[in-house]
Amino acid sequence: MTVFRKSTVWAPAAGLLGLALLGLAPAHGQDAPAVHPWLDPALLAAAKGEGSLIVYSSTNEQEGLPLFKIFEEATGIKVEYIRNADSPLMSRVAIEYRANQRAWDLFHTTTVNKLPPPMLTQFEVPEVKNIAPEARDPDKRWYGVYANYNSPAYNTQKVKASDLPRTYEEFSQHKEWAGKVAIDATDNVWLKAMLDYYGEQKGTQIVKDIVAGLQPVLTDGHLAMARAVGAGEYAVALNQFVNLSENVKIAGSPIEVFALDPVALFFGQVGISALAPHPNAAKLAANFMLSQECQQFLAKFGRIPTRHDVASNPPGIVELMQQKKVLTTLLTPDEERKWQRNFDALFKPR
Amino acid sequence: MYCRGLGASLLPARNRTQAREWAALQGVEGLSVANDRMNGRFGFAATSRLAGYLKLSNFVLVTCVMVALWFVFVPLSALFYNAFTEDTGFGPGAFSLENFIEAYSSWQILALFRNSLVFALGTALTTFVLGGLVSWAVERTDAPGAALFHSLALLSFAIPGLLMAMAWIFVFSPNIGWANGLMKNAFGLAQAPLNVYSMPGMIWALSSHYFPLAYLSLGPALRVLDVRMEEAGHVSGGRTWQVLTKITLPLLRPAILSGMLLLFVLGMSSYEVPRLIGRPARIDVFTTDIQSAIIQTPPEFGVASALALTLLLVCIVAVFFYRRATRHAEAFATITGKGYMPTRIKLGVWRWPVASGIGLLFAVALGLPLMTLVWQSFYRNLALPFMGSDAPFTLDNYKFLLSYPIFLAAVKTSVLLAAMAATIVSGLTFVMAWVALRTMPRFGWILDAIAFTPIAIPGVIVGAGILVAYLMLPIPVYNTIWILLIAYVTLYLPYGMRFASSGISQIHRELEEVAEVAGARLGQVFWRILLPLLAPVLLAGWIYVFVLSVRELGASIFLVGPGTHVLGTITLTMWEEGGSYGAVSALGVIQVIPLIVIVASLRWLELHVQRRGEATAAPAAGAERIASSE
Repeated sequence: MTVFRKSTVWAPAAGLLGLALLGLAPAHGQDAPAVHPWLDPALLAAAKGEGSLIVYSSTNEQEGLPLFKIFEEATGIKVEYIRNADSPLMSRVAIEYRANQRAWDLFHTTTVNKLPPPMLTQFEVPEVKNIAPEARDPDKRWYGVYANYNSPAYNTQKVKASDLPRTYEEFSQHKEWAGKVAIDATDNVWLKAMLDYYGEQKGTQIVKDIVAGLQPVLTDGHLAMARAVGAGEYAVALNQFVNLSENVKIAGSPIEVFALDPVALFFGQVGISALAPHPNAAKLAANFMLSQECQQFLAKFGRIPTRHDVASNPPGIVELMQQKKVLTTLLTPDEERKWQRNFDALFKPR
Repeated sequence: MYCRGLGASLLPARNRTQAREWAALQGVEGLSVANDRMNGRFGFAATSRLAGYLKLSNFVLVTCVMVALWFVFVPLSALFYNAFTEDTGFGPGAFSLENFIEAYSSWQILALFRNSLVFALGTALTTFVLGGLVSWAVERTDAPGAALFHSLALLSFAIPGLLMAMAWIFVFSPNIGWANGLMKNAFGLAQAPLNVYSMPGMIWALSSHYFPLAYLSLGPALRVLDVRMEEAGHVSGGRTWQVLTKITLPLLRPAILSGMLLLFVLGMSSYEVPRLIGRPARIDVFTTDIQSAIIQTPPEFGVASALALTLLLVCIVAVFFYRRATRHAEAFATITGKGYMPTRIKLGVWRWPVASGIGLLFAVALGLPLMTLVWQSFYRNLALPFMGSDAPFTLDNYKFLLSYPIFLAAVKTSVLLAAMAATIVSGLTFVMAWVALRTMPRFGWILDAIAFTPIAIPGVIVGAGILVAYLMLPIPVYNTIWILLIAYVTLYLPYGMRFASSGISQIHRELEEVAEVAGARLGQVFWRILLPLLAPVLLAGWIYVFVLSVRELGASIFLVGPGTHVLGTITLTMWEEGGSYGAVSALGVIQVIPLIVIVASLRWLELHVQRRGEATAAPAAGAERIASSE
């Protein structure tokens, strides 16, 4: 966790709004808008009374800390930021919840929807109306901040674009890729989307053919796999998070995504603790995370926005995905266990 | 004589006559001299022993053991509780055996176990051979470069396991490994001659990382081995190999078995190499399944715990057999009241060839991966040594790290925590090992096994268990550095115990008996006899625990709080979330630097202690000569 020390901005809300109205609000980056439309006056007043905010997030500090610095400077609310991987964060909040510990306010991972509903408060903030409908929880316990599209990727020095399969059925015909195709060992969401799209019998057969023909290498960690494809260790990733492929591509590696039916989609989400010690600050921060300002900031790092008024980086990636059948796939913990077992049974036959 | 000087000469006598008579009966040279030098109060050993039980030192001793047992109890109870209750995904539920059914219902578990055994045994043997060679050259011979090898042996340790495995992939991957590329070009081969994605590749990758442990375990034992015992063997007509097999190796048995036991269990519980090298090769081991359960969202702690119980059983059985094999402790004591003189074998013309051989070993085991990491750290994307690259040389990775939010604060926290954890572990296990070996020779193995159990419990389960316990208990350590310290001490008790246990095995109990007869209190025995004699072993253990603590990850991910980020969690962030190959390599390189400083400082301290010991021994020897002339 990192505590942002108060720097310069404990300015009164009225003064800040006044500056904003004059177009003189402090800039927080080259692309930062001059005003903060997400700065709801009523929420701000209530949030300032609470004074601080505790964020649990799986986003690295390089992105997360500057992001919440924008929030801190705009609101004067001190932010404590704890970064960890999804899985241990889930356990940690469960343990704290059972101990009735009021430990955190805002939860920002790709697994918020897997938390038991009683752990999350129901909320709705003004910016919700601006994000894609599929990124809104009908039960109002979480909202999508960025989109995680699932799509294959390949090393452009190892594979010609003209040789790429046009469907997953064609994958197994590329015997020359045997042992050079990788997939993350936890890609159960992709498997569910495959079986939903093709039907259980056909989908299973396609995957079995791929396993038999290409002997995919199971890897541990999506970014590690994206780097390995970029480095040429593997020629093709059977499935990959598009933003990570793009991230490695932006860094200069010869990696490119391509889209096949189906494209599984889930979200990096934000939720608020039912035991939040600072519930209004949490709502204000959630409103900020769904805002144009926040999503523009995240897009610089290759995160794909859930708002239509924010361009993806690189441009056109959302359009590329939308040309295919996009299946929003959000699993409950029980469903995830079931689909992981199915995945293991298919990819690690015993 | 070194030992005499440290032992008897520093003791205050209570009953000079009694001590002198006892010494004459026991044939302990120099005790009379020592007693003559002592001016103190008189008393009787028997009454002092009785009174001793009520003394502060005993209270401290019992407290140390109780504290250590508490440290072990928390994760152990979490392990059993998780294993035998329904895994609801958000905490344990009702009593259930479902976790065991899920964990063990497939025949695949046997294949995993077989792979784990082969991997662990192969690693233990390879590591032992590598570490043994280095120990012998550094501690027992006059081969040049001993100080350099001593420091180098510890360097590979500082590199996080994930990065070490990554480096070996860059060297010996059949697709991108630069060593394979060079060999293919040189010999015109169509296929890569070596494949890191194999069982030998896994064993080599882990052995190259862990062989400092074998060195740390064997080195101190070899250092204090009384060369006169070997000389006696030679004088009696024994050949070199006979002396080696009949005298040297048996005398080193506690250290060898202790090191092998630790290495075997480490191999069984190792995760990084199976993750990066084993999994792509489809060589799954026991920990692969444990980790698969843990990385689910939410983690399946129940299944992971049920699997970990097998590791625990293996550890307990291993400790039991270790204690059986070393139950006649006196037979392995090379530090006795009769004194010893550490001397080195003179290699003559073989000095440089031996040094070159050890240098070559380091060049391969440490040089290849370290050079790869250093090279890669100056490029953003994959750029391997000798393979040519169009990418520009850059310092950006280091700039990125040094400007990374919380990086420097995490370095500071990690070093502070590691120093505290290493000191506490060394102290606690010193006491526990003494209790296990000296006061309860028959059942001491139980205490030994209890202290060893955390090694079989995955770090994340230790972290989760500690989080649960200290959220419920009225001990305000949640979200502070202290909860991390508790976790680190718990996790590394087994390592400290192995070092302390094998070290105490080498000290004959007659030294303590001499002290007791001479009227020394228990605290004085610890402080003025055992501690100086065990200093090299404890220092080695301290270094080991320090390095492990600096890069601890499993428990930390549950326990970091405001301002207590540690290096391990940043390494994980780099690996999982952003950060190029260059950035993660730079992180590995940066972690080596503080270790170089610390190892050099400790080496200086060690040499200082040794010189002081020799200086103390000199007057004692002089006093002895005076005594014998009386």
